[in-house]
Amino acid sequence: MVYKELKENKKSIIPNKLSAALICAVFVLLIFSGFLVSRFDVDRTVSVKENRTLAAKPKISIVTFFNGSFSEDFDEYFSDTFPFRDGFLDINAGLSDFFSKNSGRDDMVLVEKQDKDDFAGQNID
Amino acid sequence: MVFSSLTFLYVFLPLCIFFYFITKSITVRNIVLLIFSLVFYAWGEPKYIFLMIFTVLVDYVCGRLIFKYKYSPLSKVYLAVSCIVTLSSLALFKYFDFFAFSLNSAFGWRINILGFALPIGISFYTFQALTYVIDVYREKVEVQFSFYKLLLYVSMFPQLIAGPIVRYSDVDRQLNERKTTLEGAASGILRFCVGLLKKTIIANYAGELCSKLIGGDLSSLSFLGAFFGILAFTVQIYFDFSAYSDMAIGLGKIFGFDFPENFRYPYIARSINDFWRRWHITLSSFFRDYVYIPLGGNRKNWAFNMLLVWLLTGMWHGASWNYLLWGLYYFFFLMLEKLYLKKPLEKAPAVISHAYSLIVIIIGWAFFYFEDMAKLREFFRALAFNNGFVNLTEKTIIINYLAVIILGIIFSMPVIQPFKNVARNLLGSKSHRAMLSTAYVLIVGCSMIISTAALVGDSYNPFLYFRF
Repeated sequence: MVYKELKENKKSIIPNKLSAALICAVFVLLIFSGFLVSRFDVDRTVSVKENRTLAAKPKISIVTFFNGSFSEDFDEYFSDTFPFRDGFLDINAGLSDFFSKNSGRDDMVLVEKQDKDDFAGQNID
Repeated sequence: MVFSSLTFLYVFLPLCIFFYFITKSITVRNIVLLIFSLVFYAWGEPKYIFLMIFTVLVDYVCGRLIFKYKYSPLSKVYLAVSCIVTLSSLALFKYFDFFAFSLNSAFGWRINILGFALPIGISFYTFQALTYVIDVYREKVEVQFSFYKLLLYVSMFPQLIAGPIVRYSDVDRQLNERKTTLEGAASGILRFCVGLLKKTIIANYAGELCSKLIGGDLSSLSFLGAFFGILAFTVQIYFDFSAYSDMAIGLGKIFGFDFPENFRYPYIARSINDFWRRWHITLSSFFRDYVYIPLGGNRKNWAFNMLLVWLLTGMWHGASWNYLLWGLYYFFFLMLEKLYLKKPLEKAPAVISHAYSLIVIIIGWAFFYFEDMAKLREFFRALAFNNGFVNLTEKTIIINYLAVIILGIIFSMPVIQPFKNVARNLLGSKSHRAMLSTAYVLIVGCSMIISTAALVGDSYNPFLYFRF
């Protein structure tokens, strides 16, 4: 039966112990440094790039945990204050540009040269 | 909580790995996993965690009673009790409103709609709990006297929310003894990272394309728009769901668990029967071993058993008529193949059997995608060139998203192994191993950075199999 065959296929794709160690090291390093840096850095309150205030750290209590508001707020806070957020947003803009041809950024509006005069008749250089 | 989230990757997982690996005691490790799994579930679904724990409690108690009365007909009673209670919670929370609404519409009754939100993962964990009680009854597994171990089996965060459907018999020994090795963890990490990439890049961008083409108003949908729309969904659903299984299996490996495979390159199937041996394998095997065979399989009432199983398969995917239709659609093709097409498909050239399978599969996804029958009709009309071959808006969208379609098509085929073989022949095995190691490390690093960037920039992260 196919199901049993799949379970018995246990050949490892990792060539040797060194590469296993490297893979584990890189992964652990990335997630632990992400954790530690986000835990111990000072949270920004405002994003210049996005022109908005960033979410603050929510307070946890039995009530807020069980009505779901804590987890929602925490996810938003964690994302808003993630280390190197602006850098990651730039990478994401590049990805978005490649995969969907829209850079997903609202801060830039591409204007053709001759359209500039249309913009409220002002020179926006 | 979901795997493709910053909180999971950079708070939950580091803490879990830390507390898991600072001890070598299996008991402590089990307790760590259990606590983290309960937090994982409660994070997204704080109220329904008690429903899950209650379901497991009922099955735990019944399991022990089935064992106690194993030589008496009482064991059958307790099996029935646990099955009824477990399935009732599924029926209530997932299907009640659907049936109530349908009956109200059909007969003008006034059954109150309950309006319960669907508890996440209920379709998965109820089936997993059932494999336990049924296999205890069948004396296929030993009864679990320790409640926390049974709860750990059901709630384990790698596979709780979106599969694979791991049977109790798959992991019963692993609950008591399992080894974590560097190689195992490394291959688990690699698997996890590949899954993450599949989800945050391919599945998400394919999803955007699908939504832009066929997610809204279909009145002016062109043929090409319909075609690429459903093609995008075909890519999205495979990469989304198989990514989740990849991440689940990978995480399991890190902690020393061996979970069954759930996908085996389904889109290279040469028949619909073949497709269902490659797609959501744990679900079709569940229905085969716990519904089809107990009812008599192909020995008694074959056609009826098949029909029932496929209607259930359809319905499992969602509480809506289109899923039933989707199940029926596959029942039709499976029967057609078993009765008439088996020999022709085997003898036909590969191109024909692949093309046939893909056409059936892709059209099948249309039945799956459109819950609204009116929209489904509009979609098929568009495919029949009702609105022309293509229009400018849709053409632009398709061209903009071409990269993800191409990548989706390529990586839905088993291209990695032949590539590795070519490399090994060209480089010789020593540098081949070095190349492989470098590639793996690069994959892990790039996948984490790219996925993190996608998650940071992300407001669009739909999880398709979250309706289950």
